[in-house]
Amino acid sequence: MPANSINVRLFQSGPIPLDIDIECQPSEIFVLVGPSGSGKTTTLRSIAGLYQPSSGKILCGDQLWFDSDTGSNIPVQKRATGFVFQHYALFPHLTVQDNIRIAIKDRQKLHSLSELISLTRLQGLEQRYPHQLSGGQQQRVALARALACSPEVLLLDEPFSAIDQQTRRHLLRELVQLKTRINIPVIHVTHNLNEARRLADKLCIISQGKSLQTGSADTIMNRPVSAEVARLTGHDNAYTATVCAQDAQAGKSWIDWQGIKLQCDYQPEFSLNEKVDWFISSTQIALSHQESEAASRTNHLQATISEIIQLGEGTVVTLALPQTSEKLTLNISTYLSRQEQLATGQSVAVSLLASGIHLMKTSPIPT
Amino acid sequence: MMDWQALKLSIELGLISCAVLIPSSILLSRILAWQRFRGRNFLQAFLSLPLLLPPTVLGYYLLTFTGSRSILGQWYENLFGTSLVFSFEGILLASIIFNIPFAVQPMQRAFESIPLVTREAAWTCGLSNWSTFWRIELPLAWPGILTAIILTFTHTLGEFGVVLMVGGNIQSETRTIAISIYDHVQAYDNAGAASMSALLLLISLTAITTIYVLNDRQEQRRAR
Repeated sequence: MPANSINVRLFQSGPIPLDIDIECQPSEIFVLVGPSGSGKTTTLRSIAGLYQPSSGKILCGDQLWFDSDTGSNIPVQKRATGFVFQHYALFPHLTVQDNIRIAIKDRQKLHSLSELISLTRLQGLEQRYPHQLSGGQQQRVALARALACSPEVLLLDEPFSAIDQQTRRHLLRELVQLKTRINIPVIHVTHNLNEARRLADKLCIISQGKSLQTGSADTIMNRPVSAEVARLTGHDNAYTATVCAQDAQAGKSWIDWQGIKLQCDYQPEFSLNEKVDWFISSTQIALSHQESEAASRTNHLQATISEIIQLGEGTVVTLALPQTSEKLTLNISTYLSRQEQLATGQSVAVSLLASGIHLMKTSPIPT
Repeated sequence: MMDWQALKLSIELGLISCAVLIPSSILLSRILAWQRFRGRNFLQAFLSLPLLLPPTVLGYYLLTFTGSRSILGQWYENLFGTSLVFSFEGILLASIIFNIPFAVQPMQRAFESIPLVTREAAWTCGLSNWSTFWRIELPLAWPGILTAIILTFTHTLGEFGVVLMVGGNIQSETRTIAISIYDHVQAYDNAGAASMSALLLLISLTAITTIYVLNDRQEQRRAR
């Protein structure tokens, strides 16, 4: 393992269930994303030493911070983690300068105070108190303070949750720029999928304390390993089917979805007659009310519009399929929706792009 | 006329009571603020008793448990060769006991107002428990600590019943300013009683005003 990378393995069945695997390299942003109460913050607190899970191992570089097998548990003060708390937890009685200075362990390194202030663009605010700062400025002070203790790993607990959209965009960009300069692993926790996708070098989907899938944002968004990951990454169109044909030579597989035969790319990891979960991104569904136009396409289906909801610039169209009890959801532009004069109850034709159908091993979807 | 000796004794009693009570109450109030343990509510109720008990009842129990026939009283006499009751040390012990809630409660509220995450932030900054206490907790709890000091000191100056029962009325030994006022009234020295009463009134009013100002500042800080 390269020096300064962090390797975390946590497990416990309660009171907060945890089953977490993290490996993060220097200058890499590892984003843990999941719904509220999924164990994200507990994971960060365990890494920092603020919470002790019942079993696991935390290795930072060549330093063993926690090992339940040997009973080793380095106290929080000696772990060298920079922690940015959700609401920053700045010390209200100290100025910006003193908030940062208090974390500088080595008095010889006091010159780094000005470097940190410049790195986090806090010049001119040194003598202000936390209550005299905006949310974005407070976030910068928290970041500077976290970096002041020369951390081996930077832990960010939803640091952008209390910040307006515009400031958030600025800070996200700054964090991405910062990661190469600080050259340490960065573990970031959020429930915001868009934020996670923009930041992550490596993304981990977590639910009910369990890391479900880790990989690049593209992989997780397009090739989720389970229906649960698909659901957590915002994919509505996840269903169950059976593999009904495989043709390696033609590079095609077919699934039986409640009597509808759908063609998809050849996926040899699934056997014939195997029950599978599958999903399709709404970007891979074409909609037309020209029956003749759609009929020539692969995976052509008849549907009825059961609901149209305009959400800002986009429109969510829900389609009922007469052949099944399932529904398909499409996100289309409001412009297209108006141009096509879509209306509830209207019959339309849809085709599902074969390469957009992604098969997954079956797993129960938690409610 | 003003009984300067009684005033001096009262101030000494107040200062020593604060010196003994405040540090120990800081530790006690931190525990009560942040730790949940069996018997915590009973302990809080027990410590609050001096607020509700008539001073004579408290004085009676103190006499019972520190008198020369009590275990504590006999132990003290064997050790120092003098009785604990009707002595300065006796009224000091009484003063410490009847001031416990005045010292503990404001500090407990002050420590309770410090969020756990603030202390956790200090730990992740590498601060030891002692540094966290010294550099984060104490400054943040300072208004509560100052309130406790003011309340303990002024309450000691004004306490009458318990001090009279435990210490009697011995000049330069147990006669505090509150007892002296009573003496002066009994002796029809209204001028002396008035001047000492006015002084106590002034001290109390200043103390309470200071506490309100401190609380106001703390509330403003919390509201930010």
